[in-house]
Amino acid sequence: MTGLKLQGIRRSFSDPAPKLVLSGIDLAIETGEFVALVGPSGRGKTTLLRIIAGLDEAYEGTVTWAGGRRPRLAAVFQEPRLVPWLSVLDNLRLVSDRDRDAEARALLAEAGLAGTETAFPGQLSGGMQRRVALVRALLVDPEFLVLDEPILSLDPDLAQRMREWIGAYWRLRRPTVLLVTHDLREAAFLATRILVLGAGEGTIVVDLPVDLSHPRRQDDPRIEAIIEGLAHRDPMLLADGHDDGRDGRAGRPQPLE
Amino acid sequence: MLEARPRPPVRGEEPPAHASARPGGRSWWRGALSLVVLLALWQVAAIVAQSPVLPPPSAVGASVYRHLLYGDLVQDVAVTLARVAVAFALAMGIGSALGILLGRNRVLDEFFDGWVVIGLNMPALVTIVLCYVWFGLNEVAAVLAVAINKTPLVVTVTREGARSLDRSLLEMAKVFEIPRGRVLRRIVLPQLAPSLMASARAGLALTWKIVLVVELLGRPNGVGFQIRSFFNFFDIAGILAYTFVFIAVILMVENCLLRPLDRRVGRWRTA
Repeated sequence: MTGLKLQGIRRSFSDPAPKLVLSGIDLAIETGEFVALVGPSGRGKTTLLRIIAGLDEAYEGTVTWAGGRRPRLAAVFQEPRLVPWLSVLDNLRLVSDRDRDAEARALLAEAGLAGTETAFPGQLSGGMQRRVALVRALLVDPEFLVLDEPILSLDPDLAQRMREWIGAYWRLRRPTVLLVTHDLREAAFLATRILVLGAGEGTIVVDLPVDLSHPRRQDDPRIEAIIEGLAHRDPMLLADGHDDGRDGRAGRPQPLE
Repeated sequence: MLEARPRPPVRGEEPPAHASARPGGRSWWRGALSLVVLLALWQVAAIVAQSPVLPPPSAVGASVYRHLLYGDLVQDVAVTLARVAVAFALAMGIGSALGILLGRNRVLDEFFDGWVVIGLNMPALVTIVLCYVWFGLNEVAAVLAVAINKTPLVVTVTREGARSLDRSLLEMAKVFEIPRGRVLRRIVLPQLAPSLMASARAGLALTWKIVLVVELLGRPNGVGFQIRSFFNFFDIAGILAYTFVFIAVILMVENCLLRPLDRRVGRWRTA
């Protein structure tokens, strides 16, 4: 069943210089799919995701949800976006209710965050804040889960644990997931379908189903083959871009070698 | 890495400006000394002038004592405070609602900006006289006049705060479809707290001064009314007695209500 249909999505920015970021995206996402949208910085991944999440309305084209209504949505943004003056538990209560505190605590514990309930976000490390943001998204039991580089800049072990957690959640609840990432390995490890946004064209240039059963193993040679295949078609995909630059800002300056 | 990225400034993250001027700070005795010097200068001036229009501090003190014990001082202060409270609450409520509305809606803001500017520049006396003429010499007109005087100031300050609300949090709220009331209470109002506190402080000082004028012009009780009576009888000690008592009461409200509230609001920043 088609959960989401995009037709002829175009989006351009005028600031700082006129630029067409998306030039006609046609895409249908089935309910329950785990879709990874990959590509290095500046190709409009985050822009497309914002349009789907309803945060960007200045686009041309149509976004159609199955049944004519937007499903219950949850998102993990590039930044944690926690409310700094609310405790961790109060941040979670924003999206749920007080009578679901037990669930919230259980999810926090699963994320290795037991005992942080009364802490303010500013008292947590960046990695912990990201995990709270993920807990917040899972707590609403989303029908459609949007993940924008949710694992950016975590240490490798923790990053892998979070990937496994996201995978396990998806197997259990089967929400539709749209994961934006620059990391091909992450995409191949989690997704059932990988989309590549082309450089310059602003369209989807690769639409690749991933027929591997879940849970997957990190060292599965078939994952390696997928990565190689994708890199062969677009070597830029291996570039380590962090920032989608959706506001027209350049990425962070790279440290000098 | 991500944490090192400069964040857009969140309004309200700067510490409150008066944080160092806490009561009970180390220089309290300097403040006391300065008051004593002021009283001494006043006493000397009164001795030199030898005039009934400049009574010495001792005469004013005696007047305070007399009015407290045998007069209507307590009642008058209470009546005036009640008017201040109602007008203050009205102005804060209406002013901050309008301020948020204008701060979040550019079309409304452009349309009403002129009105706000006129409101800001309207002399208090004109508003008072017009309210009395239109609504009669009654309590509603009195309180309304004060509220109308103060509202534009609250609108301006709150609007500034509403313009700089953190967009990323509002987006988060939108994606998660957090109910509007909850967004207002838990995300918007806390960010506006510094602006609201600023307009409350500025507003309190403004409100009570205008209330005195309102009472002087058309009320049969209150501090302002009494000051007019003293003026008629040339009782300068009485005027000063009422004034100082009222200043003391307002300072108490400021120190015992507004400042603790201010600190409570900023608690998460220091936690």
